[in-house]
Amino acid sequence: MDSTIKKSILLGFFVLIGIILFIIGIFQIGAKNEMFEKTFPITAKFTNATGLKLGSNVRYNGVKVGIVKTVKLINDTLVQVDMQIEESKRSFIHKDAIATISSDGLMGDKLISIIPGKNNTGQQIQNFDLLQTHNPLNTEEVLQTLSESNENIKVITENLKMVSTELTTKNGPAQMLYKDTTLAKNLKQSFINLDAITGKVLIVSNTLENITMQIQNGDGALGKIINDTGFTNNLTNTFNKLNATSNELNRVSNGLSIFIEHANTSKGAINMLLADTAFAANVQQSMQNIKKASIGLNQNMEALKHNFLTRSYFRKQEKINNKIKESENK
Amino acid sequence: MEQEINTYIDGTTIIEIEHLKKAFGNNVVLKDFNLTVHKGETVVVMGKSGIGKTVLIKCIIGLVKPDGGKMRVFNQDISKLNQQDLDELRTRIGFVFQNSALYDSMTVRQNLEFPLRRHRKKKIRGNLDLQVREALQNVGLENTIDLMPSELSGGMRKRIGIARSLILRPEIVLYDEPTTGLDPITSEEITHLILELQKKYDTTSIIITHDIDLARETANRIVFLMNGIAYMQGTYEELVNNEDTLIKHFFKRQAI
Amino acid sequence: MEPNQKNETVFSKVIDEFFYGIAELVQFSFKVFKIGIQPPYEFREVWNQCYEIGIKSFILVGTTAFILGLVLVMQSRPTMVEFGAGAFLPAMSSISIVREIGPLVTALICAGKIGSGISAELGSMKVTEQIDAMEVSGTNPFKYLVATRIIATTLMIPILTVYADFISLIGAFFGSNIKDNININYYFNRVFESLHYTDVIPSFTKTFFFGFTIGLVGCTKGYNSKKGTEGVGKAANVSVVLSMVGVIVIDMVVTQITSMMGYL
Repeated sequence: MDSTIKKSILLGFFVLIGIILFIIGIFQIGAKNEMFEKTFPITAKFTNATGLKLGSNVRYNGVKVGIVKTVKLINDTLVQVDMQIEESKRSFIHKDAIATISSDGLMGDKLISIIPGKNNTGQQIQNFDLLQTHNPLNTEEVLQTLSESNENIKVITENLKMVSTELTTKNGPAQMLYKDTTLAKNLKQSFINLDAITGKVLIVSNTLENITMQIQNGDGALGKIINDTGFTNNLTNTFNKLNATSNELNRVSNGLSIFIEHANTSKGAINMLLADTAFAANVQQSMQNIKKASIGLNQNMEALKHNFLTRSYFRKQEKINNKIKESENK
Repeated sequence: MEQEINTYIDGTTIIEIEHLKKAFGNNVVLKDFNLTVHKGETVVVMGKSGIGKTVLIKCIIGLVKPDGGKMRVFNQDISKLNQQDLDELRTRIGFVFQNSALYDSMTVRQNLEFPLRRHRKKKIRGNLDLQVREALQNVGLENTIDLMPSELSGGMRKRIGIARSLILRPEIVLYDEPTTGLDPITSEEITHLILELQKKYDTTSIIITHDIDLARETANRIVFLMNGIAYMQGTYEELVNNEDTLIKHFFKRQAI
Repeated sequence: MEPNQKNETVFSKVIDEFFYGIAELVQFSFKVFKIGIQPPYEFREVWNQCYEIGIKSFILVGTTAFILGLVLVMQSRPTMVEFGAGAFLPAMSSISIVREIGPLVTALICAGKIGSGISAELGSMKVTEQIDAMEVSGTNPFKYLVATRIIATTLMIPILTVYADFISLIGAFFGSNIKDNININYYFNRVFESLHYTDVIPSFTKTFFFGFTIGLVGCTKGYNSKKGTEGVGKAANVSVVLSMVGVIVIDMVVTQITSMMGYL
């Protein structure tokens, strides 16, 4: 065969295969990005859309249903994220679904995760619907509020300490406490709350201790990043504070029980308590503080449970608890 | 031999150069060059190396743009032609390059076919293969048809170069140092080849050389180029016997 | 039209030459567009040059791309695994290959191989008067030699890049399979899943510019090379250096533009 014809054939083959490869690539990418399927638009508004970009995945209960189309600021605090959802998935998503931003694995891309709403209305989602959102949890924020609550608890416990000391020394005006049944109830409730919180705080501090240990040993996946940053110190501080607080709480609650017993039995002390109204008001204030703090702490606990750092620990804990319960049941 | 060539000459002027000027920067190569070439004539331009002989014939074929002067080839002013007419004119002029200028990436056949393919109008003349074979026959190198230029010797390359220039049957052939760099025997062969082909195709030639043997054998007229002008013209005998010291010096040196 | 050979210089000899070189390139590219678009078109010669550039560089580009894909994964795997991001390997390799490694490696190899080849060829054609011979034969050498080569590089570098990307991805697949056992379907699924048009289109577009630059620089330096074998060698050398720098600068500019358009 003529060599020029041979060359031409070879070149034609080369070019054609090149173009075919390119087209296959484009179509594969298109198929994976739902470029060729019919879609419909929905939106959601977040206060923080870190890492979201054009093409980020949208998942419904973990199954990919679409992509992010645009991410734009609409005012000083809100970011609007428009998504394109495959038409075929429309029937599964309801109007009350909730959108959150989460990530694909520890180091993976950010994505929008849609979860079904709590009161399933069964009403199908429509074009341009605005989804409810949960703003993404931020580890630092969690730790920040946690340490704030710690400070609060510290103040409260200081107060309580004062109260209980005064009560146990029998010089304090405890009469008011004795008369005011609601206050007593409150106190009791707070005491129970405190107990519960102490338990939770203990769990959290254990978890944090574990994590810190792991980090210090460099075992964990994150060990490398975290080992030499202030993050570790932060964690250690937090857990130390938590430990201290819970110990203090323990002590306070012990003191309180002693005081309550006292209040029930001794008359003199209660009388004295009655006379000092300022102290009584103080106690009431403290009780309210405790209530607030315990609610805050509870929220923090919930947050921690969902946080990626400690999630697995809580899951394990739950499993162990379940097992214990099962064995108890048997 | 001289008479034989002379028989082809008639009075028609086909190349007319008046007051040709060309300078490269501050280096003035051609100052005021005048030359007239008649049909059938063979003019040898002699002179020292680097004096602008090659520039002269490149001006004739339009490869170098002159700075001034008039130049008419086949009664057409070269500097005023557009690209198409210039290409048309170039089909009537053959140019034999100093180093043959064979296309390294092509075989001998493709080299010879190239002018035929490119000048579309001449293509009509017939079978490509036949013309290529004929051209190679003329230079006696038929067996090299499928070789690459790098496989050929200097003399062979020169012959192929001549064959390529003649393949369009030009009326004028410009030779740029056809024997430079060749051994005496090959030089002689090339000289005879030039004469032979001239006779066969009835061409007018301008040969640039400083090879005295070539000049003696081929020239009807020798033009001595010096200092940018046609210093002296005449037949070989006239120049050899000239008393001008410069010319005497030149011929004496070359003869040794 | 050489830069001043005499002592008169505008700035200094080196700087003058530099600016002269840039002016040469600009002039040349204008000429390419001006002359290249006039008929008659040299389709045959473009096709020939495509063969010279495309097919003859394929094995070199392919081998390099394969090895680079392999090495990329082998090098980054330990770190990624340590971060617990081993599963992210296909995505990482696909993005870095398609966005950067494929186009850049193809362009750099071709700048070396094709750029030097073109300028050496044109340079020696110029020195041995082959370009003159061509012009005498009724062929515009600019169109026949220069425009065809520039068109060929502009068309072939993108195709070579497509090959390089795919071969490099296959290399990366083999690289991940040295220590892991990844199914090829899973691998390519992950690869295409992590790619988006915003990865492919800018990186594919820039390869045309790469090709044009390589062709333009190679032709300019070769076509304008000075007489003598030294001039040819220097032209080849300069064209390789210049086209590599050009490719990298274009890469930087394109990356900047794509990031400005919000595609990064």
